[in-house]
Amino acid sequence: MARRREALRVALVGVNAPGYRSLATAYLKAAVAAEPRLDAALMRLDFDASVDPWWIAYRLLALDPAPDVVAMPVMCWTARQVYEIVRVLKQARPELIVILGGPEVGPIAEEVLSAQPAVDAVVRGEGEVTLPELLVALDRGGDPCAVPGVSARDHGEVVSGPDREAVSDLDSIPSPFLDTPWVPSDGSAYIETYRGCPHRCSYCFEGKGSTRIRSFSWERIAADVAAVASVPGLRAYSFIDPVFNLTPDRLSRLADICEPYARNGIRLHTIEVDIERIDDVAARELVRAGVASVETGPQSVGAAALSECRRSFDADRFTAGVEACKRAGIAVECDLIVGLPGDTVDDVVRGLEFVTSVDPAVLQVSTLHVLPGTDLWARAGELGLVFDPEPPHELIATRDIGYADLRRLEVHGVALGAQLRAANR
Amino acid sequence: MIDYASVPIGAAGELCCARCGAPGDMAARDAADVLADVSRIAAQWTGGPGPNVTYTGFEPFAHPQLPALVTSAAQAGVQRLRLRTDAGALASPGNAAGAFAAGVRQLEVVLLGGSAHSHDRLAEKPGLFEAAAAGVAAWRAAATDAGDRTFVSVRVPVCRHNEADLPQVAAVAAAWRCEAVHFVVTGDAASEAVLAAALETATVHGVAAFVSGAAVPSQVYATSLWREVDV
Repeated sequence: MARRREALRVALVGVNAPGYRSLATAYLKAAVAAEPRLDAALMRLDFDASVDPWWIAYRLLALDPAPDVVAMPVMCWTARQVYEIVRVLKQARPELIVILGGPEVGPIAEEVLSAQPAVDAVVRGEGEVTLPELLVALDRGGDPCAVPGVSARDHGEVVSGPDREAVSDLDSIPSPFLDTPWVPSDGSAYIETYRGCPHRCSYCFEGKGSTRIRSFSWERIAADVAAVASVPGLRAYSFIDPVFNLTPDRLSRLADICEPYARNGIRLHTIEVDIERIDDVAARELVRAGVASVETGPQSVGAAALSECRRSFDADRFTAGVEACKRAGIAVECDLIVGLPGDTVDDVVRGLEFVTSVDPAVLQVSTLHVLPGTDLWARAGELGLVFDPEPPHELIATRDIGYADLRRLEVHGVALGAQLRAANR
Repeated sequence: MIDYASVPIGAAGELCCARCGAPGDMAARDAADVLADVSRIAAQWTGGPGPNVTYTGFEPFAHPQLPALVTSAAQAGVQRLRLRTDAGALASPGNAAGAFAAGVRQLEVVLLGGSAHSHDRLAEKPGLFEAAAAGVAAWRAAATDAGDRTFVSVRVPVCRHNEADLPQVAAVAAAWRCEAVHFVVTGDAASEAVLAAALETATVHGVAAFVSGAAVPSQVYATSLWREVDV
């Protein structure tokens, strides 16, 4: 990793679910571009996860001029492809510097570096400050391992720099929407208004072990929404906030910001909400914001699993929330996770019966994935969770549900969801 | 899980094993009587997804008033109308697209055997298996053309004449891309081992399977995807 004389050529590469475009690479590109100590030529590329990893590697190797650095965010869903891509890249161009980040690799950075020789460095936690600093270090011949939030190799040894605190002032992060023209993917786009989560669900990495909420300012949120919602051709957008209706006040202010675009027919889809706190007043605010569909739990109705996962569930309030949304014309997607610790087959079946009883527009049933950095990952042995160590870390068995019944329940749940959706419209 | 009110649209006209005995005199029910039932059900429906109705008792595509039965059900507020059918007539031009356009989204295909030989023999209708396969494919194509969702399940009336064929029936349900298969067992028509093999065949192909009327090797297989409610 020697000092360079020309502009550092950095390719930010997203491997995404079909129809999506990586928001992470957009944030990172804006952050790196804003780093005054760095002379970097940046390119951002997005690929569908359905594309063969060798063809993605081909595309990257064909870039002219060739990048000096390839940086890729990694989710559990895309990790296998990313590892294959970088393995091919490194074989073809050993001098290429490969940097990974994201929720799949950050919490297990040293393990990833040990297992993936093609990876040179892993960014732990948020990348908007760490990646520019790492690139500066690489460009100036500094020590990557000394950069807070980075794990890297030092003479063959995997070494981690100190942890980096999460960014306190989110407005200090350059907006990915304001400086460059934003191109929606499939007519839609994604925005975030805060980071963190008020809940500490043990299967989820969203809150990263903390209930601390860090919000962008209202001015920044309004500017980001305006930049996205004003793009010609945009039909819908969504917020990736873990809970859109965080407080009544916040919901009302978001509705104020989104309402002008909603009046122009731009809709918000699959907004994650705490359904138990939605009444007719809140539902009207959602409609004012342009919300067409919301996504919610309950994930489980079993008392033991709810306790183990630090979740609450009140069937009456949940049902009332769904009904309030329906009265307002908002479609509700209910999610259930099969295989949470403490759940039995009977609990899962009761969960399916409950969500069916509220007649959601969509029922999403999925088997638990034990994600790095989560409480379940740390306590899997203690809780009796057996899962695939390879991403996406799908559950294999629990103390209460064996492998065969997990598969049967998943097939059953998916069919139930299909049956619910096959209705007159 | 999801309730469906069974509404007979005729008598003795539903596909069943001919070897188990003649079902009696076949007769279609008058549409006005059927729709009176449907309207009453829709008006009285309480709780849960619905109202949902399954037309039973007679091959729907042989019913002379099927279009009226379908459109009127939708007008009565039926959310899910399911046709129990042998699927043979669905391959005829216009039938699948016509039924889909009229609002039908769910089919319950009656399958007696897992091959043309066994199915046609038990149905005593030569060529029915191949016609049903073509019919289900036509239905899928109609759904794709309409850009809308459908749900196709297979209903297997289990008797001693088709017991050994049950795993193959499950494989056919998968090959036809059906979402679910329901084995309806009467008496001691099927051994637990054969039923288990059929259920596991369905599961490994991603088809939800469940049984009524017999013991099963897992609680999941005893969990119905739907409940038939007589009215």
